[in-house]
Amino acid sequence: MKPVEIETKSGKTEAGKKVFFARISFPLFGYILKRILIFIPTLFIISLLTFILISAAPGDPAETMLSRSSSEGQASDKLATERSYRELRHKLGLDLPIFYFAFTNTAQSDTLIRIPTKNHREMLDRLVYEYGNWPQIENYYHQLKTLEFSIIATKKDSTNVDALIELRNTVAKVFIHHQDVVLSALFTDLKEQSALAPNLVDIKAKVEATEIAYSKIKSEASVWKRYVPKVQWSGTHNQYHRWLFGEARWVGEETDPTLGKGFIRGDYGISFFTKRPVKSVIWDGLWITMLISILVIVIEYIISIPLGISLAIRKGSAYDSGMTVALFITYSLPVFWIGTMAIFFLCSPDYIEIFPPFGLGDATMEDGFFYKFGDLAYHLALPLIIASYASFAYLSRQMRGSMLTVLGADYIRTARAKGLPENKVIWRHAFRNSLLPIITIFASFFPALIGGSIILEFLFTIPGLGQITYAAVIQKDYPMILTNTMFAAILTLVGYLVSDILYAVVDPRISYSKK
Amino acid sequence: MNTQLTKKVFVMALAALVLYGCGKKKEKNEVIVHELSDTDMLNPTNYQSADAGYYIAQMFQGLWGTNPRTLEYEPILAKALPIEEYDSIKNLLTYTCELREEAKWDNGEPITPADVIFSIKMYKAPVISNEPQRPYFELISDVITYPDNPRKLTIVCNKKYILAKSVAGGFVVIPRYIYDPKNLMENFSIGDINTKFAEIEQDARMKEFATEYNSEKFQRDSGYIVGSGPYAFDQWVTGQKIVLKKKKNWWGEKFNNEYSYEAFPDKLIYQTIKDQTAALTALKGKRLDVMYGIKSKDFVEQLQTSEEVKKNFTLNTPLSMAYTYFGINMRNPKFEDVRVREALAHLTDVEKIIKVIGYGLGERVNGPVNPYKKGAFNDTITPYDFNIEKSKVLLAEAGWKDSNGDGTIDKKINGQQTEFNITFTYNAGNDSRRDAALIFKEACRQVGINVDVVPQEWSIYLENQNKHDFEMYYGAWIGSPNPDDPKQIWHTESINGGSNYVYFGNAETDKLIEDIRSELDDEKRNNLYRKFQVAVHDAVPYIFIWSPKERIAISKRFTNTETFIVRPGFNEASFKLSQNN
Repeated sequence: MKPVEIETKSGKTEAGKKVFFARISFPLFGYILKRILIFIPTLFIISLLTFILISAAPGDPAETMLSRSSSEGQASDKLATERSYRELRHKLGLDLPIFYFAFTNTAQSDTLIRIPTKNHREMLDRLVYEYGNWPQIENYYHQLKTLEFSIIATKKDSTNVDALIELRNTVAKVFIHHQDVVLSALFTDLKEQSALAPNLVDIKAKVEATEIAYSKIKSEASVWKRYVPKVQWSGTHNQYHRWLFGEARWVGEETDPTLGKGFIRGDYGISFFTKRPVKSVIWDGLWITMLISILVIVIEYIISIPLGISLAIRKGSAYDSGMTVALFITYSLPVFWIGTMAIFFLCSPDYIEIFPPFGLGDATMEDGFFYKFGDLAYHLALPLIIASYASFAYLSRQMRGSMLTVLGADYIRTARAKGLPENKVIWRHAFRNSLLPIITIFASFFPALIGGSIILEFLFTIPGLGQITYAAVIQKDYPMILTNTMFAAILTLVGYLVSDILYAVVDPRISYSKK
Repeated sequence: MNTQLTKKVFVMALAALVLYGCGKKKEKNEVIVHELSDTDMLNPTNYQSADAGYYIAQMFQGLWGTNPRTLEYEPILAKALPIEEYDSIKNLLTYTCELREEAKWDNGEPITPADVIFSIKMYKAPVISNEPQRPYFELISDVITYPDNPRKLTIVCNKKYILAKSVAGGFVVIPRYIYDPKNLMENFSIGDINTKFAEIEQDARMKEFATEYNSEKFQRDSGYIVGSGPYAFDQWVTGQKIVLKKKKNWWGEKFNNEYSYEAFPDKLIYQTIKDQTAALTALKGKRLDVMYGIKSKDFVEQLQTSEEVKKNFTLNTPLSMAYTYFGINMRNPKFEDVRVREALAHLTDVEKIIKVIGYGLGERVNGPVNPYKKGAFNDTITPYDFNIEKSKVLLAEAGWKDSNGDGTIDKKINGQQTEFNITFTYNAGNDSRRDAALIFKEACRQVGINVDVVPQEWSIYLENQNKHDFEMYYGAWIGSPNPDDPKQIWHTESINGGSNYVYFGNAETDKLIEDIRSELDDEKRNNLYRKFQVAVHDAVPYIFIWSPKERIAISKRFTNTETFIVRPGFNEASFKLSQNN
C-alpha cells in the first residue's frame, strides 16, 4: 500500500501545479485586464465625487488659513485683508470653476465663483435663482461694493458720524439678504440714513444708484431663463483639470516653478496646512501604517489559526464554549476603551509600568540595528496587542467553521478509516484545505494597509496615515483629502481584484471565463 | 506543544521589554515639553500654528520684544530700546535703533540692517506663503540705513498706531546668506514691493526665490533653519518630536542676565502625545518635564491630589490672557432693549460656572481688558451679579410678561406676539461650554425664558457669527501682552468683515476706539481704555464670564521655572537644572 500512496501523492501535486498555471492563463488574464480597464472610469467617478463633496462642504479653507494666525493678533486694514484673501484663493485655485462643464440653466453665471466672499456668493446665488438675470445682478453687486467703500472712505465729522455707522450696518445687512421685502426695507433705511447729514450727498447718490440697480434686477427679471437648460463650458481652466493634469507644460522645460504637474504626473500638490508636498507627508505616515498593519495581520493569523483549529477539534467541549464566550467578550470591547485602560494601568507608575505610553521610540540613525529594533519593538508591543485582539474572534470563528466543514468531508473519514493518527489527519489532510477561506479574507485587509486605525494612532501618538487623513479632513486640506481618498480607492479596488483572483486560483469551481 | 512554545516565547519577550523599559531614565539637562499635536513648519516667517512660534522664538531673535515676566519691552538684537518719533506732517512713525555689535550669525558674520530689511521683505513680498501675516506688515513702509553707522537703522511706519512698536520690533531677523544665497531679493526694495506688488508677483526672479523659500527644506531640514538665537534646529521626527540643541559658543552667552538671553538647557525636546490620558501617564512616569494646557478636571482630580506628582512637579496656575463670554445679537428685536440684555446678565451665574465647570481654576472678568494690564484695566466696574429677582423686574420693565399663561414670557414685537425663546449656540464637542449654557438655561427657565442649547460644527458656528445669524453664542477671545487694539471686535466698521458679530458700537465708542489706536502715550491711552470698558459694560453686548487659569506642571528637576500670563505661560529655555540632582 505505502509505495502506491506516495506515487499518487506526488502525482497529485504535479497535476495541481499544472492546474494552477492553467488557471491563471488566458481566461483569467483577460478577466484581470478587463477589471483593470474598469478601474479607470471607477477612479474617475470617485475623484469627481470627492471633488464635488469637498467643495460643497461648509467652510472655506482660504478663510480658515487666514484666520488661524489672527486669533491672537489684531485685525488690520480691511482692504489689505481682503486682498490677501483674494490672492490666497487664487493661489489655491479656489476661484476657478470646479469642472470642465456644468449642467445649469441660462440664468446661472460663470463669473460668480470669482466673488471672493462666501456670504456674498450665497446671496448673489439666491438672487440669480430668483430673478435669473446675472448681468443686472452683477451690476447691482458692483454698485453695492462702490457704496460700501465710499461709506468707509468718507471722512468722519461730528455731523455725519452717527449716520455713517447706521449706513455701514445697513449695507452689511444688504450684503447678506436677498428677499425683496427685507431689501426694500433696507433701502428705505439707507435713504433715510443718508439724508441725516448734509455732507453725505455723494453717498446718497450712490444709494440711489444701488437701488436703481436693484429695481432693474426686478424689472428686467428673466425668470424663464431658470428653466432653459444650459451646458456651461469652462474649458481646461478649472479646479479638477488643475488637480488631475496640472498647469505645467507637458513638453519641454517648465520655466514657472509655481505651476503644478497634476495627480497623474505624480504631483499631488502642496498641503494647505503644512505647506509640504502631499507626497512627503503621506510617505512619512505610509511606512509606519504599513509596518503596523502587516505586523497586526501576522499576529492575528498566528494566534487565530491555531486557536480556531483547537476549537474545531474540541467542538462542543467546555473549552470550546468557554473560549467562544471569551472571544466574543473581547470582540465587543471597544478599542478606544481597552487602549485607554491599557495606558492607564500598564504604562503608569501608579500601577504597573511595563510599556511606554506613546510614540515610536528615540532611536536615531546612528544607533545600532539591535537598539533600533529593540526600541521599536518596546514601543510597538502594546499598540500591536490592542490593534489585533478584536480580530481574534472573527478570524478564529472563520477558521473553526472551515475546519469543521473539512473535517466532515469524505476524505477525512477515509483517512481516519485508514487508521491515521488524529494529529496527522488534522495537520496533513484537513489543515491545508481549511485554510482556503481564510486566505481570501486576507485581501479585504488591503485598504486597511493604507487607512490605518485613527483611534489606535491617536491613543499611542503613532504618526500614521489614519491620523494624517483625519487631520486633513478637519483642516479642510483639499489636496491631502483628495490624495488619500484616491489611494484608498485604488487599494480597495486592487484588494477586491486580488481577492477575486485568489478565489479562482484556490477554488476550481469558480471560473471567470465566458461559458 | 505549540502552545507551550508560544507561551515561553511570549513570556520571554515580555520580560525583555520590562528590562528594556527599566533601563531608560537618566538625568539630563534636557527639557521635554508635551505638545498635543505636531506643528506645521519651522519656516520663521511662513508658519501659522502657535507652537511653531514658540520653537522659532528659541532659534531666532527679533529687535525687541515683551518680557513676559514684566510685560515691558526689552531690547533683544537692538542695543537699547528704539527711539520713537512721530512726524505729524508726513504722518510717519519711526523707530531708530542700533544692533548689538556682538550679534553674529552662525558663520561668524555680524547681523546687519541688510538682514533686517531682507526679513521684512519676507513678510511683505508676493508669491511667498505669507498671506496671513502680510496685512500686518502693510504698516512698515520703509527701512532707513546709515552709511556712517553700519549697525544703525530706522524702521518707518506709515501711521501712528499703538501696535507699531510691537510690529516694528517683533518680527524675527533671518540670515540672508542661508535663505537667499543667490541674493535674488536684492532686486526688489521695500518701496517697490509697496508700489509694484502685482508686477513683482509676475517676476521670474521673485517666483524662483519664493518657490525655493516656500519649499520643504526651509520648513524642516536641519541646516536650513538657522537663526541667531541660542538654539539650533536638530531634528524633527514627524508627528513625534522636535529637538532643538543649544549652540556651542553662542555669541549671546554673556548676556544671560537678560531675560531673552536665558538659555540653560542643552536640549529642548517637544514631544507630541495626542491622547490626554497617555500624556498624563507619561507625566507621572517622569517622561515629560513640562505639560501645559492640562484639562481642569485632570489637573484637579489626578494631579493636585497625588502626593507622588506633587513631590516631582510644581503645579502652576497662572492667569491667562483669554476670556470667555456669551455674545448677544444686539440687533435681534428680542435683545434690542438694553434692559433685556442686563436681565440676561443677571441670569448668568458666573461664580457657579467657574466653580462647577472650571473647577475654580479661573477668575471672573468684568470686561474686555485683562486685569493684568494694570492701568488700562478698570477695576471700578462691578460685574452684573446673579440676581433672578432683579432680572424679573428688568424684563417686566422692558414689557415682557407671560400674557397667555403658558409659562414663557412674551411681548408684542412689530405687531407680532413673540414668546421669549433663545437659541444659544456653541461649538460642538466643547462640553464645558455646553454645561455652562445649561446652567444659564436653568436660570432663564425660572423667569420664563426658554433657552435652546444647540451645538454647531466649528466652521458653521463661525460662519453664522460672521453672518450675524445667531441669537446668543458662547465665544472666547485670546489677547496678547501688546496694547489691545479694540477695533477688530468692537468698532462698527468691523461689523461687516471684522469680528464685531454682536453689532456693538456707536459714534462715541468708535471715536474712543480710534483714539485708543493712535494714542502712543501710555497714561492717556489707559484713561481711554478705562472709559471704553465702562461703555462696553453699560451696553451689555457680551456677558463676560471668566478668564481661565492655565494649568502647567513643571518638573522639580529644574529651578527658575517661573510661570507667567503670556502664552504658553513658561519659558523652557530659562530652566536651570537643580543643584541637588
